[in-house]
Amino acid sequence: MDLDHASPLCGAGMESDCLLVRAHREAFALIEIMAGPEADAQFHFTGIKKYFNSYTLTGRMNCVLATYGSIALIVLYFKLRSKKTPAVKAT
Amino acid sequence: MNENLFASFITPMMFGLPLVTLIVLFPSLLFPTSNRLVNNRLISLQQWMLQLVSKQMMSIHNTKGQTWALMLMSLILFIGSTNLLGLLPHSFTPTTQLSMNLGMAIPLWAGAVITGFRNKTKASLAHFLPQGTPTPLIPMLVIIETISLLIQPVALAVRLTANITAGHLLIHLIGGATLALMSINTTTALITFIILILLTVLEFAVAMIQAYVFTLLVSLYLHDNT
Repeated sequence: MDLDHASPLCGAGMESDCLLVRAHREAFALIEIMAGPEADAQFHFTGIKKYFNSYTLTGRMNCVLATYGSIALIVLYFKLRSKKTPAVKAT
Repeated sequence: MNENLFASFITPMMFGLPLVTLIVLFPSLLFPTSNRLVNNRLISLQQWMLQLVSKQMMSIHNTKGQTWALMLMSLILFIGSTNLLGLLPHSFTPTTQLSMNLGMAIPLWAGAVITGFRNKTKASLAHFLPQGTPTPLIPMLVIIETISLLIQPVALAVRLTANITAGHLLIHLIGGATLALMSINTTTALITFIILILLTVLEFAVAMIQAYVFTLLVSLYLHDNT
């Protein structure tokens, strides 16, 4: 697909719409470059920050997984605790 | 306005059999196909319109995303034609039913998300945490981003349902008001009638815009995941 002339309005005098499509495409490309694994190399963290940070792809993924894991543990803890304590004590 | 206001939103039946399947399939009859190289005017116009929409919508996608071109074009054609046909008097509009719109939104959204998790697992999971978030805010933001992801199909469906239903209700109300005002005050009835005309024009625009918005959002979800 000829992406430079992707919009049928390109070359039809509708330059602003052609520019809009290009700007849209460039914005998406920029987001991909910013968030891609190539960008991780510019960050040099040490210690636990190497694995848990909000800048690199791996760091963000580990933070997300840690958050989900913590929530699962909290839910499990309350479920097990409610099973242990009897609901009604006989008098 | 003698009829119940919500009568047009009840699924039509004939002799106890639901007609909704026929109504949903009917728009496809309005888009004829041809095996000729040079077509007649109607099919040429249809092909030109499809080409215009598909170029606009699919230009941002990579090769993987462009495999969804047929799906997205069918979606915009279906929703657009269904919404426009619903503007005919006494017709039933399937896209006023939340069940129908959820039935479209959930599989499409889930397909995009599952594609993302299968092909780019790390990036899909990392997407739940915006880059540069301060450390104390991380757990809260992860929860918020998860909720915002899960709410996407619901928002898609409810947006379409609410817009089309609201438009139809307004047309009913203002049409009924125009009729009632005819015998009371002709000038006010005329003003109400002009408002009704303007509203109908707006509803034509809304019908096409909502189809475009629905498809564009599915396309954006797909772009995030491919």
